[in-house]
Amino acid sequence: MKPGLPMPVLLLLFSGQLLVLGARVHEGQDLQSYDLLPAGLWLLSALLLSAWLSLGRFEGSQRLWQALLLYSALGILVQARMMGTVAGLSGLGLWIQPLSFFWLGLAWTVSRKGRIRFSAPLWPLAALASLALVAALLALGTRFRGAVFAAGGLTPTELLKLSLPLALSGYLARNVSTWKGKGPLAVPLGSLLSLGVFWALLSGLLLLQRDLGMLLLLSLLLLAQLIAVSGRISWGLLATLLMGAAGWLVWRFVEHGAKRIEAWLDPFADPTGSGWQVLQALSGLYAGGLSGTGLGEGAPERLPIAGSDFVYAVVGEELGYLGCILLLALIAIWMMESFRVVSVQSEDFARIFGCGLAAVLAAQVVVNIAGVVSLMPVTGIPLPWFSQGGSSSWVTAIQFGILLGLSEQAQGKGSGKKASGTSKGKGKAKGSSKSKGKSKKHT
Amino acid sequence: MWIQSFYALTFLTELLEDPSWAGLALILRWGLLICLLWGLLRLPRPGKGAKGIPALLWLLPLSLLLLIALRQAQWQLLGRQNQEFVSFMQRYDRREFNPAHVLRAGRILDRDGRTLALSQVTDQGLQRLYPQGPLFSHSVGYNHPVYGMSGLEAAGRDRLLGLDAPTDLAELGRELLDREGNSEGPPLRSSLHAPLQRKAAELMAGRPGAVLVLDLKTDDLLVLLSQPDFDPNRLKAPLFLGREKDAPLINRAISGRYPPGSVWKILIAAAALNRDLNPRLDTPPEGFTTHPANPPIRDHEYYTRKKKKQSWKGRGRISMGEALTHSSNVYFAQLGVKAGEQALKQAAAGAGLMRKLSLASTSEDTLTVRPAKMPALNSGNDYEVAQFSIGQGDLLVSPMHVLLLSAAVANDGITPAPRLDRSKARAQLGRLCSAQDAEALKWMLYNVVQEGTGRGIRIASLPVGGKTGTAQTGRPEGSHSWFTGFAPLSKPRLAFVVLVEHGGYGSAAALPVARELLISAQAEGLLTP
Repeated sequence: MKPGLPMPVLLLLFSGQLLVLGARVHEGQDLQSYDLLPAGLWLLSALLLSAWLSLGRFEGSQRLWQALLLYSALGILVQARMMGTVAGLSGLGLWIQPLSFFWLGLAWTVSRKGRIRFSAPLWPLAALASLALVAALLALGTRFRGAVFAAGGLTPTELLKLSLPLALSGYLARNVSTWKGKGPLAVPLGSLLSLGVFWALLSGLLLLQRDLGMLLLLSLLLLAQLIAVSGRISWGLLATLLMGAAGWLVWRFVEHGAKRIEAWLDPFADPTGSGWQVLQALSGLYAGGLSGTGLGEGAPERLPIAGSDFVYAVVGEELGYLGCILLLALIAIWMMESFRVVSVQSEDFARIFGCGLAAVLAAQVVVNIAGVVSLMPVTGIPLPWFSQGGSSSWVTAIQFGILLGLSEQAQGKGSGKKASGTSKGKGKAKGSSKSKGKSKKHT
Repeated sequence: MWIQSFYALTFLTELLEDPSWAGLALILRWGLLICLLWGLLRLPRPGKGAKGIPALLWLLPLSLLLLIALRQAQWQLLGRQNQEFVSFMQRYDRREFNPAHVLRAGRILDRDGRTLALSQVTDQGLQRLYPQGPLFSHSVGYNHPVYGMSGLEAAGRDRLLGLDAPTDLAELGRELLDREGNSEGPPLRSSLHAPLQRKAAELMAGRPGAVLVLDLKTDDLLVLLSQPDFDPNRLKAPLFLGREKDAPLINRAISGRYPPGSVWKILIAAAALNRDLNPRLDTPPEGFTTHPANPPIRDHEYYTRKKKKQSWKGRGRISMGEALTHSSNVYFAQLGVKAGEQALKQAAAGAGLMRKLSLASTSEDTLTVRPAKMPALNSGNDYEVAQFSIGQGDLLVSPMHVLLLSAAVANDGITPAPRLDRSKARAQLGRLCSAQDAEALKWMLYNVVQEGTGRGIRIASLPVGGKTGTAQTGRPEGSHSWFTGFAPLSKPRLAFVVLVEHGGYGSAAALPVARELLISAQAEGLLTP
């Protein structure tokens, strides 16, 4: 099956674009030709990407590919809707979407056919780069709305969502057996210690930047990768305890975090201050009701920074609870498919790395939306491909590209399983000594 | 290419400006959701797998997504159930299409369905209006976005928005689909009688004080008036900062604190009768005291005669009935001491004076009767008991407590629990005295009106029992004027109390108000058995 553009995606894009334009005309705005650009550019670049994947004989998960297209199309519709009101369309903004799909294709090409393993030795570099990135940003960046930006409004910390999964999986995959101890308390203290030192450094730097959201996200990443490498759930229990303690410490000692937690616990205590944003988001949800006002017909201008962190509230207001349920189902599908694709990887590095990427994506979605619906405090984590922002969009594209690349190993017909059956595949598995035990189990 | 796109745009604009666009938009709106659903349904099936990593990894985010959907439903679909959320939206949400803006609290009605409070969408948004002005400021109270809520407004806030109604699925479905229909909550029917309340306010004529009228058949409070009052339609900050004269915010009827004076003798008489004490006692002109060091307690006639430079010879040996008729302090000071501290305390408890009584079915501070302030009465100090027995000393009660005394006498000795909120179940607060003693007390109080200090209230067509009170305040403004009683005598239907702060003699200020009020009540048909 070729990676084409399915009909529902095209119809979704068409009807959504028409709704957005119609609402704009009825607000008394004149239509401009660039109003068509977001959806048009998306369609063009999606077609190019589809051609790229077809030419490269994409054999990965069709389910993941189509779910991503649907997710991305809905995302671009919501972004197109926001551009008319809140953010103007800048020259840079035009390149975000086409480049996203370019990065996606590139990441797919680079990572497919087991080539992902060539990035494993880069882990020390990735680890150092992660630290250096945060440190440099702390020294040179400019602060805006509580976050730190580099020149040009870029948020380089987004790169951590790539470099850190690489660094951690490279480190963990070096010696998988040490992490698979017998008994719940058997932990490799030495390895854990060096990991702990690295983590303390990174956390300290992020705390200095007051980027609690990123710290939470990366902690979830570490947890996911530890579970993936050890196959033990006890890490989850330990991590839950540690995170509870960290949450308490943040509440007590980090003023910026305490405010967020208090605003979450009782938004009505200060409805026009700290509770304002989330209450406006919830008001929008309530106003949208079951079926929403219709795309383009809500009032996201009532919601501060609606386009970035709170974009899910706009979806809820305009597509209603039904639309949100469909979106959540879509997210659940690509999330499950990502984890499935990752879990059948034959190589430890690919498995742990992919697991990290899937975890980062899942955690971003959950943390962002949970903040909007007041299930947890607001953290300032964007919703991938829905929130504005080039850095986030590109990093998400690269993550999805790598997952698509890995999915070619995971298909039943694909090279992965077959390979483990053939002598050629066995040779490959023997070639990497670390996955010996693993491949024995599989056969 | 740009020219072509220009043509396309003109065409699009024309299409979108077309009047039929609204219909098309509706189709597109649902079409978009259906496309999304279609896209989800036609996704290829997932392949096999998920062995290499623990299920926890994907189960955790998946269950969190489920929690998100539930939490979101709580706001998006059931947000109406959250009072704080609804009032936030009504005040601060500028989305004019938000259905919260037409979500109105129900009306508060009087017992016959007259509107006392209602919500209306005006050009300034949703407003709570009180068509009777200040008349019900202490009973119905107010519901204001800045100053909060009080009275029945506060006690009934959930009911008025229809929140306490059991939400069956059909109702829930209607609420989701037709969010702007049926947007006024159910009405709350109070016990109040608007015309009688208005009459009471007219009779008080702005003098600080309180009036309470209780329907003994239903335990309904027909009148709850506290003066001065305020207009809940026009609330202003000085009222809440306590900067207005005579503190209009205080509900004097249930949380005021006054010495009861002679109306307290009803309680002493009941306490003595409970101990089978009904003596004839001497009332000498030099009064009564327990110890020469304490100033003697004398009858009021002594002081009035003395003012006129006349002498008072006393009434000699008199019965309890005579003592009540003439409100003899000397008699009751002795009677109280004879009955003893325990009997007095017991009677006070039987009249429900020490309880926190709520007039509504939900506990609401502004509708809760403040317990009386009573001296401890356990020091063996007889003089304290004597002072207590004439309603003076370290004793402060609210008009509601005095009402409970006459209501218990009129109600065969059983103290009813008055209510403002008709959904509150009827209850009893205790027993003041036996039915037999209550009957005797009724006749004694009838005699007060026939021959004694209450003569002024005699109404030819209506036998009334009652008691005056003149409570010394020790302040230059003068005594508080009390009158309490019940009517008609044979099968009492109403119990009432009137207090005029610093009104002088009970028979001078409070009694005329009670009289006119009874005549009005009779005209309204409220006294038919």
